[in-house]
Amino acid sequence: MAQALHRAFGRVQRWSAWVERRFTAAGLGVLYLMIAGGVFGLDVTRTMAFQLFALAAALLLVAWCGAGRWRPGVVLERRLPGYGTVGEPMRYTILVRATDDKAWSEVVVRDELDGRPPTTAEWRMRRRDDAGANFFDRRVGYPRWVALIRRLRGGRIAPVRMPPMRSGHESTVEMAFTPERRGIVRFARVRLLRPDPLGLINAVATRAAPQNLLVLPQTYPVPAIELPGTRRHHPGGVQAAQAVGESQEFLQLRDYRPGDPLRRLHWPSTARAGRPVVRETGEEFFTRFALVLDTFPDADDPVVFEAAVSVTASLATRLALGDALLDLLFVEDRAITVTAGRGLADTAVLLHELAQVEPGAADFGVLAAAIDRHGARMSACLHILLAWDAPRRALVQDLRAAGVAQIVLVVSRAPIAAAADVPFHVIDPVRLADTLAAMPDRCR
Amino acid sequence: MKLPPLLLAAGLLFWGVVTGFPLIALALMLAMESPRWIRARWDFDPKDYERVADLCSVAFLLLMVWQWFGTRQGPEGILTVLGWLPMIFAPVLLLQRYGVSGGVPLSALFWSLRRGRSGGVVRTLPLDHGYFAVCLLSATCANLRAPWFFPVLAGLGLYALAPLRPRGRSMAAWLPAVVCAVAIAYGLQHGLLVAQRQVEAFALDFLRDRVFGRVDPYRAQTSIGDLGRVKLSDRIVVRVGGPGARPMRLRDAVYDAFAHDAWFARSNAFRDVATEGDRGWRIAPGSGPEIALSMALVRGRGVLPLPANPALLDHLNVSKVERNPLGTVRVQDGPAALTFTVAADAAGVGSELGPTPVDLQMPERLRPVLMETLARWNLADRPGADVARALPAAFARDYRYTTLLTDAAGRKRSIEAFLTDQREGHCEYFATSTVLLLRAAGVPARYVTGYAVREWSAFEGEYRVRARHAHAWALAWIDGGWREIDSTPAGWFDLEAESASVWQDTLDLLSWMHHRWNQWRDRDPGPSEGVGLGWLAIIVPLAGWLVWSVTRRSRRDVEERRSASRTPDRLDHAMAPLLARLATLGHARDPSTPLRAWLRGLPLDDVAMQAAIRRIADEHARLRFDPDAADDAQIDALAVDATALSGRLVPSGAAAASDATPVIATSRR
Repeated sequence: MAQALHRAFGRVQRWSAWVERRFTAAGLGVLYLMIAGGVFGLDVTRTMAFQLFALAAALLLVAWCGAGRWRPGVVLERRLPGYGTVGEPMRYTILVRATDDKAWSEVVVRDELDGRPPTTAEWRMRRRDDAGANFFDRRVGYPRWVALIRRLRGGRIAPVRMPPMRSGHESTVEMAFTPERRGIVRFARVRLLRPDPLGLINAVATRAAPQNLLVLPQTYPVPAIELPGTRRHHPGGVQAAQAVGESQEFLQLRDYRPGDPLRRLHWPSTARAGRPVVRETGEEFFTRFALVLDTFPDADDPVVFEAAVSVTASLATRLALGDALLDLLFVEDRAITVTAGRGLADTAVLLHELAQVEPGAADFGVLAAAIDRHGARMSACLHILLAWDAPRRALVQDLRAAGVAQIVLVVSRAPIAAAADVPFHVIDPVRLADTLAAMPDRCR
Repeated sequence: MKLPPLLLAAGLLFWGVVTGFPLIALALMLAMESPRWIRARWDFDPKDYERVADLCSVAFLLLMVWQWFGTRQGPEGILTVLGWLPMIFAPVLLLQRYGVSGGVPLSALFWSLRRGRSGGVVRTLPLDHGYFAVCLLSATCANLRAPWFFPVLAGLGLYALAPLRPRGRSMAAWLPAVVCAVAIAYGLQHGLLVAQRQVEAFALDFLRDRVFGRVDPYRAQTSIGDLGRVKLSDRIVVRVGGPGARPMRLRDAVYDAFAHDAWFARSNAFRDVATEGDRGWRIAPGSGPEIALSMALVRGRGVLPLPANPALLDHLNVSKVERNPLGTVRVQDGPAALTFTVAADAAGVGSELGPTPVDLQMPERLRPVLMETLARWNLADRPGADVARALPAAFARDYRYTTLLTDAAGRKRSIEAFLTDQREGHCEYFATSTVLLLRAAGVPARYVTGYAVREWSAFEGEYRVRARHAHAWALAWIDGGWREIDSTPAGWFDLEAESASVWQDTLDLLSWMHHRWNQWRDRDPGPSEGVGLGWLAIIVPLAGWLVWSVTRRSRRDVEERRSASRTPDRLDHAMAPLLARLATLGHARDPSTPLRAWLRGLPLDDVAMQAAIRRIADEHARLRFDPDAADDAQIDALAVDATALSGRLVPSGAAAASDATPVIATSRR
């Protein structure tokens, strides 16, 4: 049944998109009138609705013929910004340049996004989204299907009517778009719609215009978090860092030993002594924070995972690093660590990574092992977890035992009983802004 | 979309004229178009729209239910309600026309949008074009077959579409398209009419042959020659009551020609039966006790089962009654459940067409068998009346009733076999043989189909006629009148009763309940007279409550707004004496300095005075910035304090003499 509905919805959705393209608002009104006239005028002896049907049908037929095939000479160029953010309205432009000698008017520009169709499992899974829908819609689930398609595409771009175009001229059309999901949004094609002389049916000219836009996760205001953490010894320092903390601290001069880097030679002493003398400095000690994103969600509730990504992005942009480093840790098919701070990378890099993070294909143990490897260098750790079960609790307890200061945030719809040994804070994925604002600002 | 001038008025006028509500249409036109000249608009709350939309929807649903179940119209009643749509939903559009938003909130149209309402942006939808379309659709439901209907419909449609012409498209492109569309529409609607007639004719012919053959007034296909068993259901098809109810036969149809095992009506020209004032339809002179009949009509038309010699039909809710020369009566445009009375003249001889040569015709192949049968019963040379009297007894003696369509050997029956060797069959064999034997004996005879009325229901107080009580018999022209000759052996009725279903009692009870419901619905005086007042009794108080609630809330809002806007004025007025006095003392306030800060900073030489003026400044600020807490008494008290204080302020002598900012002193009065 679900498979059959799934297939039917696909067809209905394609058909309704076609109707939306081909019929103007007035044309849709005439279409509905034709259907009503057809239904009530089925028996021509009972009502005169068949005349209404005939009139509406004739108008649509003539309008269809009037719309005809339209092949305008046109070049389109879409100018997208570098990236967008979920929930943040953005504007971009489409340059329309006419290459033939015909003038247009009343042309509407539709920019269309592409995306894979939802799977049956995804459609059935998102029943939570039906809250507020009526009984029929909840049972059948078509609005859910439409919302899912829209979400997978990344949103919907409202059509814009462009000013009249004379031959050989160009016009810039400003489009508005509010991304509804993070990741890569694929712009597929631009359609130009021109109404027929009656204003009922559109002639459609389609131009492929594939382009991608990276959409960053939505962020929320969070309190400034002070991560105390003690400085830790980092043998060898940080290879690519612009600044190297206490590595400038002078300890002593000593004779050159094979293997010492040439940049350590202390040239004045070498000249004075007549033999190579090198400068010896202190080992690196600095603060290093970890931002750990749990990527193992409950398959039935992707909203929680998206909320966790948003929480991570909000924290990544808000943490006051100073000269500390921040490691973002998560697992997809393998453990991934992205380090920011001290010139290595800025938070934009973290956001780009978070824009494309997907639920992990491995198990939670991979993440626990990765954190364990970082444990010795870690000063403090911020966990964004998706559940509060035994493995997660064990991970937090181990780090606590190792003396790593921690803040644990558990994103969960349901309240979780507080644990006496490990304090944590529950984030409601539906009321993210409120619960994040009430977050603690100190490690415990 | 732009609304052409007076489009709604035009649509309403068209609807009103077509549906016969011109006065209501005029009132609605006036109400709908007045906002063009009246500037006043009301800021209705979305909840007001929702209440009005709900009221209209409930009224629409109740009317639908009532028309379907509560009136005699049945499903036809839906079309009646559709014809009232502009009236029913006018309040919603009126709210839009007189409201400031210019549209109807979507939450008024969709329940699901009312859940989880956050109080944010209210999305609205203008309903003008939709209402205009409803006017057109409702007008078509009135089914007015006037030649001007289509041109006016097309004209209104094009008037509504004219402003949609794209700006870049010239009139030269628009006009031919419009003319072309109207021409196609005209041809299409004409084609639909012709096509429907042809399809209907074909379908009716098909149904006559396959489904309603038994009551076809033109032809009766018998089961003579068929195989198997005659199977008829227990369904109650007619109820017979009233003072004249008694065991009898009800005639469906009369036929006069027999060929190929089927009976036909050669004299089949139906003529209208005239009404007799308020007394109903007069079929023939005469009178008798009234018999009440209740039956179902398929598609509002059908043949009436009537007793012999019907004289007057009354309480018959149909538009047309027709009768053919053989006495078959049919009706048109009746309700699904028909109840009427018939007065039959038991002593009459019938008003049907007298005998014609057709009434003596028989297939030549049957003549030898018929003559042989008459000879066997010694009836060959007897007078016609004697033959007619003798035949039932002869059949009862030598023949047997059976519903089996084949004999013991599995052979098909035929009239010849029935008369000669098989000698058993169902009523069609007996009736057909009787007619043909009478004709062979020189007596004009006809074949009649109908029902035998015998099953009395003490529970219902009426006779029940079931589908299996269907019967056939003969009419013979004897002594100048048509007499009924029923030759089927008397046991046929009991034999048929043996095939009754075990569920018969239950089904009878359900059938009775349905029948009583129909009777209640069709009671006199008809519900149509009372429905108007009934609806008024419901709708007027509801509408009154709605208007009262909207008005009260609007008045309260206006009061609140007025109060909110008035408070600062009154406060300024209360402080005016004090400020004027200070100005005369050389302390005019710079408009950029807040009043409270300025008052608190005044150079006063008296500490008590300082405290008093600070208290007034604080009180003024409190009332000014918390209008909800400001009542008239508090503002008045402030005015009294300020006035009293202003009277106590005098210029300080020392300060007055110098050029410095005057210090204010307090009089000791």
